[in-house]
Amino acid sequence: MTDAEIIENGRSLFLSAQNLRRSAPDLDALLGSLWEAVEAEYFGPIEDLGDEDSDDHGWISTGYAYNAAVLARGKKGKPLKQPIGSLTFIVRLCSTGEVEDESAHWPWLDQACLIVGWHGSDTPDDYWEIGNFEPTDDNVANIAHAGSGLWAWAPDGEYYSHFFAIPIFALRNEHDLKKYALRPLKALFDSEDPVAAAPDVLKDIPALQPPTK
Amino acid sequence: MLEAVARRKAHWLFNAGSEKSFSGKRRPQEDMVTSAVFGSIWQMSPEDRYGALKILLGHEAFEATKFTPDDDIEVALWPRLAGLAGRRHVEPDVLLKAAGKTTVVEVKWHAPLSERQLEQQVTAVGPDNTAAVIMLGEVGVEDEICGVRAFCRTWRDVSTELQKAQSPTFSPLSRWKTTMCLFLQETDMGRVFDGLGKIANPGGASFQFRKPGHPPWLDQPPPQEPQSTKYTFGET
Repeated sequence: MTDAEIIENGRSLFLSAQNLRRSAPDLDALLGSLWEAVEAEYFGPIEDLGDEDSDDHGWISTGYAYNAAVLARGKKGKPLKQPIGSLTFIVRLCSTGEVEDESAHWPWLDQACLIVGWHGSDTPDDYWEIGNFEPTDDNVANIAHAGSGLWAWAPDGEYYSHFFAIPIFALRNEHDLKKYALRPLKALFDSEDPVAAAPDVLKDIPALQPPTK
Repeated sequence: MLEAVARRKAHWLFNAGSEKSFSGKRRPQEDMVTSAVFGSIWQMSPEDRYGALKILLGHEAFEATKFTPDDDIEVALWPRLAGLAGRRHVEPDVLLKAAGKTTVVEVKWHAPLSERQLEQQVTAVGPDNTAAVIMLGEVGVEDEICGVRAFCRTWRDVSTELQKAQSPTFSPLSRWKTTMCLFLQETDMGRVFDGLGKIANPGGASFQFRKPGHPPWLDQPPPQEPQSTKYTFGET
């Protein structure tokens, strides 16, 4: 390694860590604002299903996941305990490990993004995890692009649950959070056929699609 | 204190994870916020106090208080009220009083609500004397407490409204709004998402590394081919 490379590499690592540290309060605010709007404006009362931290390296967390159950409502609008689905927001900064399956060409593999996922009424107790988006053999075999930026977990080709991913820097304020994340989430969650609805719902949304070569 | 946090002198006291510094019943953050926010309002002119409370409590809740612009609203911090049912006393965080109308404000900052806490406070004040109950913090409440309308307002709600209410005038109320806005943006409870900050880019940096007796190692970054990655957004 040359002197120049020593300095260059050190500076790159320094700036990467500094960028992470400086982004942390904004990322906290992003998730805080998301959940408040989910409850107050889009889905009503939710039940916290816990969070997940990819803190498996000691030095950094490569992602945070938050989950909640969407609760059915009674006749007077009061929430019932019965869940009708689950929501997951994941801020994914990078992979938790090195690429295991080179055949994965997912756009989130080199892009910090907000992953917006959900499970419907047929699987309300399930939710997405940080590990689902890692390029492992199992994930590569099961994740499919359903079109228009909508992705799905598709064992045996049948769509089981869905998500879309927004580049983190496309989210510039609370208005963008609602326009790019919550409104399409609500529309797709309520839709009986998310794949059919996606072309219209995700039309003007910067939802990541498979990279072009 | 608001300025110390707003100007990042003591913002670490209210940043993410700061609640872990305090445990059990010792939660000075909550009391510090209550004192700084409502204490500063209490020192304002009646007219400015009315305006500040309207922003702080939110339009709907403030209407329920039935306060009018002519009221000189008293701000009582942690008043000791006689307790009922075996309790020696009850201590709401804030009582707002004017012309026979009272509003109970409970402030929360990384803390849950105790069991029947609001019911005890309303009972101590007297439901007939209480116009509204307002929970300021991320804690849900029922629509009514002992028959009194109750409202929930998060610190992020306050922050959002303060950002909208910024004005170019330099009145005391306008200065308070600016300071409050900056204060809340430096806290984990009140920060409104406003995009991510500028990312420092390792490319394009220049280095100056001097060692006695040696020339600089490098004063320009090595030329690098920019890596191009194509992304597709939405429909193509």
